[in-house]
This record gives sequence, structure tokens and C-alpha cells, in this order.
Amino acid sequence: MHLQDRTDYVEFVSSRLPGLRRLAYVLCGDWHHADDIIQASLTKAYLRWSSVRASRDVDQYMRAIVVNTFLSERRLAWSRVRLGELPPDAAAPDDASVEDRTVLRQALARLPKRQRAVLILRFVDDLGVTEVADMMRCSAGTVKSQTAHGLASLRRHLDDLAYPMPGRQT
Amino acid sequence: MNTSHDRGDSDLLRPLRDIDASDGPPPRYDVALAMRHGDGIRHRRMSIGAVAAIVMVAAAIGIPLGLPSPQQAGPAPSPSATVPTSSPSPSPAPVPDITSAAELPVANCTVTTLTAPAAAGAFSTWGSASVDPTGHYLVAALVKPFTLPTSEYLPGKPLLVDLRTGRKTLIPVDEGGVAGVNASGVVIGTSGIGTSGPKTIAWEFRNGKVTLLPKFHGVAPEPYGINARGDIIGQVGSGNNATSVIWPADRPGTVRALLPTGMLAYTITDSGMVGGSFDDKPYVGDGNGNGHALPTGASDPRGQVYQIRGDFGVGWGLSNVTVGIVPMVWNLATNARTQYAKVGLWAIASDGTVLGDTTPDGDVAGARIGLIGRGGVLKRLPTGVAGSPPVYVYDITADGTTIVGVRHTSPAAGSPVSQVGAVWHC
Repeated sequence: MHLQDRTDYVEFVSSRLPGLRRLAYVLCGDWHHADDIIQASLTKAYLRWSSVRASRDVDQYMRAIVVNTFLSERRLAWSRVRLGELPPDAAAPDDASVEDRTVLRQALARLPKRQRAVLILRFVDDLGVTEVADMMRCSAGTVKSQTAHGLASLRRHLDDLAYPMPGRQT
Repeated sequence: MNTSHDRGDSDLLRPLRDIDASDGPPPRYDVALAMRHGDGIRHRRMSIGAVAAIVMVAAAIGIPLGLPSPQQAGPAPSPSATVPTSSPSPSPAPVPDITSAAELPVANCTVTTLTAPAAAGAFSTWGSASVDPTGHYLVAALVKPFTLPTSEYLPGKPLLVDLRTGRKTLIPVDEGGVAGVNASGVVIGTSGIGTSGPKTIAWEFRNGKVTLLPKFHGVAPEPYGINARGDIIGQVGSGNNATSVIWPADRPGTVRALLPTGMLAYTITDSGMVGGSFDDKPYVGDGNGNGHALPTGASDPRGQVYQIRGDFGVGWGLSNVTVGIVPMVWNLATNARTQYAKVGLWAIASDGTVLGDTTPDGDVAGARIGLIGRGGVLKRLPTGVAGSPPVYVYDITADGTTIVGVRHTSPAAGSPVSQVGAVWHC
């Protein structure tokens, strides 16, 4: 890659990293794991930078790299990069939303990875069926069925975990 | 009693929407590290892909071809920034970036072009070129004219050209790429690299015969470089799992890892010196564990050397993500290093003459110009034709008199991109 392209790459990914890190975290549920996903995604994006830049939606292309890194990381062991010593976790805020997130995370973790990704892309990132299908390289019908199955399973798991819904009336 | 079933689909996951990247611990990812890993993976694959990639970027932002005609004179070139140094040391003073091709004087070189042989069929476009240090042989990857956007890696047909006789030989291997050629006309390359991912088969072409190079622990490394006596270096794996290997000329049919473990080698000299990086530092050694890091600076503490000729090595220093990559030449004899303007430097001659190219920001986008320079001073290579179509340069001979690259033809808008081989005589 020529130098101007490298500079463009650095400038672009640096501005998008917080959002991509958040996506990776929501997908995998662990900040350190999320950083590993991001590290591998950064390398992939660097290798495909010309395609990334030429795509009609650069942000979606980058998110797709993160999602597919998450989905394929067990198949592509080489993509996992050790990032050195783990820094201490940030202190967790003490509020009810954190409790909600924790239970949600536990329930999501019980779902197959593709169902988990579909639900997060559709209902956390607000992407449409077609966008998710493009991103995950599958049909819209597959996204719809994964959504339906994922939501049903998620609700089942949340009930099992007695999900503490704020505002729940008993 | 409400249950989770009572929530809308979107509401169900609403708590996750409030997560922010700053909620977590300090991030551990490293953009510069990703680039280093990426460079290791693609270093030699770029021989078949870089041109397409760069052209694609250019096309994506709507680039017509053409620059103002080359000028025979221009403003003073960028100042030299050479400093004697020992590691670690202050970095050389920043060199002003090139903002316009008109800033640079034109080098006193002539250019001739080469076309693909008819036997190449649809593979009529030059994707890259490399030359042996003596200037006797040129190798190229011929690709099909490509319509943009396209895959970054274009499988090609390897072509060997005897620059003294003009004889062109298509190397009988499956589509892939070429990594280099030595003064005896021994060519190294790979086959099987496609858009679905690398399935590398490493080969050498010697005396008209293709031979597969031995695998390393069952995996085919990707060859990177060959020296005069036929030692070949390559790399297997990627990222932290990458291992550099050597197929030694004096032990045909064998392959072993280069030492120290963790060194990534990109170049091998005729004396057997290997250069690359070790522990994120630019590094040269004998491949048996004896070597040393090249000088780095306080603001660019990492780096890698990509090619060594004579007493000079070319590569870059690597700083943090805000400063990025610093094009650099090391004088291995004096331990001095010379910083260049923000351009791509790709090869070096024995006297320290460097070869590179850039797209000046102030010019028409996509107007890639070739560069040649010494001591931090750069000149632009002539294109040899009116309209100054983009050129991409790849390699230079040890004496600095012959440069090889490719030059665009001028296709109609929307039609496939075509390139011819280009040889500069300076």
C-alpha cells in the first residue's frame, strides 16, 4: 500500500474505532475479546483498504469486517492477535442498567453466534434486514428467520434468568 | 405481570444501546501493529495487486488521467534530513511533503515501454515488474485488463524478459504472482493466490523448468526474495505467528527458519545478509541469530527495512497512529538515517539512490508520479508521453541506472484499465 493510502487508512480507522469497539463488545461481551476482534479487523481492513474505500458505504463495510471477524474467529485462528498484558478493567458503574446489560449479555451468550449478531445488528445498531443480509453475506430470508428464532430463544433465556425489567409491574 | 414477551423487539435490547466504547478498560488495539502485520502478509503479494488497488482507489474518487506536462526545472527540491545517529536518537527533522508534482525537477531519464506477448492471451496488462540487480532480467505479472472496482489481488501470469535480447518467456505455472529474479534468471513466485484467500504454492523457475519449493512443516511459505547465488527467503503464517524461512542454495530441497525466532525478513543480499524487522525494530542479520537493530528515533521507535543494496537499506520508521510512517533510508556503514518526504519508497540502489512514487495532494487525483532521489532529495521520473499518465515504479538495479514499473494507457472512461511495462534508463 502506498503511503497516501496508509495515511488515509490511519485517519479513517482512528475516527471509527470507538464505534467499532462498541460493536465488537456488544457482539462478544468482553472488552478484551473485543479488542482482539478489533485488532484482527484492523489488519483485514488494512489488507482490503482499497476495497473498503471504494465501497459505497465505508462504515458498513468496516462493521461487516468486525462482524465477520467475530463470526469466523474460530475458523480462522490465525486472525487472532495477542495484544500483550491485559490492563485492569475499568470500574463498573453501579446502576440498574448495568444489571440489565449483564443479564442480557448472559442470555445473548446462549444464542448461536449468527443469531446473536443478527439481533444486535438489527435492534442495537438499527440496521434493516437487507443491510444485515449484505453484511453477513446471506439472504434476507435467512436474516428474518434468524431474527425470529433468535428473539424467541432470547426471550426464553431471559425468562429463565428472571430478567429484571425496569418498570416491570408485578 | 409483564414478561420479556411484552417488550418490543427493539426495546428488548435497548440497554445494550447505551454501551459506550469508553465504558471499557483502555483499549489494547494498535493501528500501527495492524499495519505491520498487514505489510508482512502483503509485502510480496503486492507484486500482483498493488497497482489494481491503487488504481481502484483513484477511480473510486473519479479520476481522469493526466497531469500537467513534465517540467524540466522546478523549485528547489525537498531538503536533505540526514543525521548521524545511534539508537535511540532524535528523529531527523521532518521533511516537507510534496504537494504538487510541479515542485519537483524531472530526472534525466528516458523511458521505453514493453507489451505482453501474444501468447499471454487475455493477460495483456502489466500488473507489476521487478528487475535483477544487474539489470539483465525483468519479471512481471501479467493480468487481465481490470474494470473498477475489482478485487485487490489480481491473479497473474508470470513473464520473464531478457532485457539484453528482448526475449520474453511465459513461465508455465498456474495464475499467481512473481516475487523476484536474480542475475542468473532464476525466478521465484507463487501460484494459487485468488480472491478467496491464499492457497500458496511456492515455486522457482530455473533453466526453463518450474520446481516447487519445499514446504515448511507442511505449509508452503510465500517467497519474498532471492539473491545472486540462489538463496531464497520467504514467510509462512502471518501476524505474531509469522515465521521467516530460507531455502539455502547450498542445500537444495531444504528449508529452515531464519533466526532469531520472530524476525521477519523481507530482503536478502548477495552476501547473505537478511533485512526486515525484529521486535518491531528495523533489523539486519545473518539469519543464524547474529544481527542488530538499525537506528530508530524517539518519535519513530519502530520500523522495518524492505530492501538492502550495498551499504544502504530502505524502509520506514513507524511511530504512533497520529504520526504514522516515516520513509527512511539507513546507511549501514555510518549508522546514519535519512528521512524522506511522505512518499512511498520501494527500492534502493547500492549508492543510496531510492525509488518511489506518490500522488501529490495538490495535483489531479490519481496522477501517480514516479520518484528517484538521494540524500532526502527527490526528482520525478518522466513518463515519456504527453498527458503524463500515472506510473507505478517497483524496482531499481544496483547501479541505479535502470528502473522498472508500469504506465497506464489511457482507456476511455468506464472501460477496463490497461497498463504497459515501463523501463527507465537514468
